[in-house]
Amino acid sequence: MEDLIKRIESIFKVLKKERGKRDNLWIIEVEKDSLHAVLSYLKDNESFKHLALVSCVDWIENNKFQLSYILWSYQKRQNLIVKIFIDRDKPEFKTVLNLFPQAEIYEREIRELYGVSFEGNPTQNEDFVLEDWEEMPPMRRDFDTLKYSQEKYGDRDSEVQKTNIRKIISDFTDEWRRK
Amino acid sequence: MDIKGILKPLTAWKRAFQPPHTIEVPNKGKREAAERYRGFHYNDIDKCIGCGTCSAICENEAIKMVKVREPQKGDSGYRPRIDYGRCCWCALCVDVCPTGSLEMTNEYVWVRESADEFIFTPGVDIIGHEEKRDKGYKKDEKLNFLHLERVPMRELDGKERTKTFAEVVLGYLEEEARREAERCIGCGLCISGCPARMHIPDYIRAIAEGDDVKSLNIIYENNPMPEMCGKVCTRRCEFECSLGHLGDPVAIRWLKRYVVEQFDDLRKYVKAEPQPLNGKKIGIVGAGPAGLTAAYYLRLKGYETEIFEAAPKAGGMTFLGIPKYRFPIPSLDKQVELIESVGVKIHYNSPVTDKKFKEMLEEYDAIFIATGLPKGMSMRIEGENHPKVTYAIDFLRRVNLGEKIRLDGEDVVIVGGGNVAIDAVRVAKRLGANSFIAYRRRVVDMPADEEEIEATEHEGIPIYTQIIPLRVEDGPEGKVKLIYGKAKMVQEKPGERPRPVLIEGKEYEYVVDRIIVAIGQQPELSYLPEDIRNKIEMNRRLIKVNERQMTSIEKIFAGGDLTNWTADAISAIADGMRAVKGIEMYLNGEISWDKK
Repeated sequence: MEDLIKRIESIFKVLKKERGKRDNLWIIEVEKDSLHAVLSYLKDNESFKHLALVSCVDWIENNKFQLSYILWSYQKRQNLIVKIFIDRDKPEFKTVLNLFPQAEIYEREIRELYGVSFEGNPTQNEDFVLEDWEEMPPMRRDFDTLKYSQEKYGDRDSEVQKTNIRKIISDFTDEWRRK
Repeated sequence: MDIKGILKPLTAWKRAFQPPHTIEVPNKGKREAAERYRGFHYNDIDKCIGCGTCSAICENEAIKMVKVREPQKGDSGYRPRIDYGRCCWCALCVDVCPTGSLEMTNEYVWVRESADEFIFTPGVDIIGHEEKRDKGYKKDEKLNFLHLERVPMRELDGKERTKTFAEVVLGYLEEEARREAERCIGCGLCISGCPARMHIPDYIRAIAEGDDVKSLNIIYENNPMPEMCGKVCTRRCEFECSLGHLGDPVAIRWLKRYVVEQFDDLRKYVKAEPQPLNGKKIGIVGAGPAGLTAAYYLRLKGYETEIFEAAPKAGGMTFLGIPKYRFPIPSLDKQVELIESVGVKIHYNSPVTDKKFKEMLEEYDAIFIATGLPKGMSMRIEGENHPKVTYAIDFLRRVNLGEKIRLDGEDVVIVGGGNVAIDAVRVAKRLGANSFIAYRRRVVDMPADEEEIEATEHEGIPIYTQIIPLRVEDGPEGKVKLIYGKAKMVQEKPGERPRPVLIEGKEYEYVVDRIIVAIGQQPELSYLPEDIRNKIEMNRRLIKVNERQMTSIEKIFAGGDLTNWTADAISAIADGMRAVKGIEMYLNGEISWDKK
């Protein structure tokens, strides 16, 4: 696979490259403006005709979203992950529908769970799994899961107090102070 | 009418009699989820110790602890109850579980009519997923949420340390102590193992936060001899530590030692403010851990306390029995200094006689006796009164009182397998002897601390086992012979400790210069006036007390090795603490001997 990476490097600017957990998996990072060109090159010239998944990571500390496009070549039996970073404050990118029609549903999922919108995807605003969701997209790391579950589920188990085990053990063991 | 249009669809029916073109779904049942799938929880409730770590880490507060059984040592009796409305299946609870009892099944389907049924206690409320637990998510050993390895303690090299009485254990440096303290998850189960119920997680947290003074003061809330405990405690807390289930328990003893060692003069740092005297006087016999504890805390509460001690120093067995390479004199002195500084009066070199005891009964409002077990137990064999036979406790006492004893080149056999036997054999080795241990059971049966047994190994001291002494005879050239038989181990009932049984017919002998007997100790009560000695209720060879340390004689409380069978320093401190409460309640009229 190193040859492949070298070929890509000779055409595009590769910001970072690393081998994955197995021999036929590599990860490269490219500039976001060149993503479509890279994917199109890989699809047409390097037989990576299958887009297996598009996924997203919230790097809240760096104020970035990472988008990963996971490609598979049936011919070479190799996986290649192409990743880009976009600004977290401006969560917008362009769709890759023109290259891979199956991206439509992946982008819709990311739009719902991370709030990243994809220009040119006509169905991205439809519900994916969440119905009538009004809060912040739930996979964003600043989404307060505790607050959400307090509001939606309240204290369903109200007869059981949140127990302080330390106190229980102290009460059980401190016979002579308790009596 | 469009006849064709009506009939045409009916032609599809001819397919009904043909074999299908499709193939059947290979696995017709429900599809199983992938390996490590995070489904519903499974909890092995017998393995679970109810430490509450899962509940503490849960970001959504989905886990509450509910009482499932009675609390006992090392187990709070509580088990996690999970609200699946709140659970987000992050599995942090599984990752931090210190026993590995909490797992997840790979089951993802469970249908119920009411949403309220999705709150249950895994392992207690059986939902039918339990057999699938092997396939679901488990704790990943590579994930390092718990720090299971203890920061190693530096020690003197085995060969080096047998030359002197220098302290063997070197103690943690600051960085080591902070790192070790950070391992603690603060569940508090250790408290259930400590007889004195020290506030262990609190003082460990203070160490981790870098506040040694705060830690010291938390320790002094219920232990006035922490440096002693930090060095020689039997550390039962560590056996209950929740990290001990999968890794090394937190070094609670060494951390306590670290804190107290940071301060040369405790009087400046321990906030001990004695109440003004309230006019009541308490007399205490014996300045061991029990006596000192009672005196210190009673004085803080405003009682005038006086201790009568036969030895020239306080400390009891921790001074007279424990060798100086484990617990050096300066460590002892600085703790006693603090106890005396709050106003406890200690009369040294003042053994109590029966006459003195009668006077004390008149003079004091209550008396606490804590005179321990100063006499060695006899082997009850022929020739035991031979001048070359000594009791370990007498031997250690002479060494600790500073008598110049040299045993260069002598062969010394120590009979016994407890901590005292180990102390005696290591002391004899340091005095130049070729000492060894003869014990009637096996090494695994030895009551001595594991670390101590290991230490003898490092110091090149042999341990011979399954040896039953038969008699003592004169040996050649002024030596002495210990005649012994071999024992076989017999287990009479399953689960019971195997008993050594003499193999008849064959006798062996050790020809040695000295025999030291360390098979147990007994109390010495000759200071009690005869009528009291005859009247006082005994529990075999010990004095019987109730939960307030009251004996059967009015005004007399007792504690320490004299009353408890565990016979270690921390139990004595616990007895002292209980006696403080008992004496206080007695003098306030809350309890009395009439309705005891």
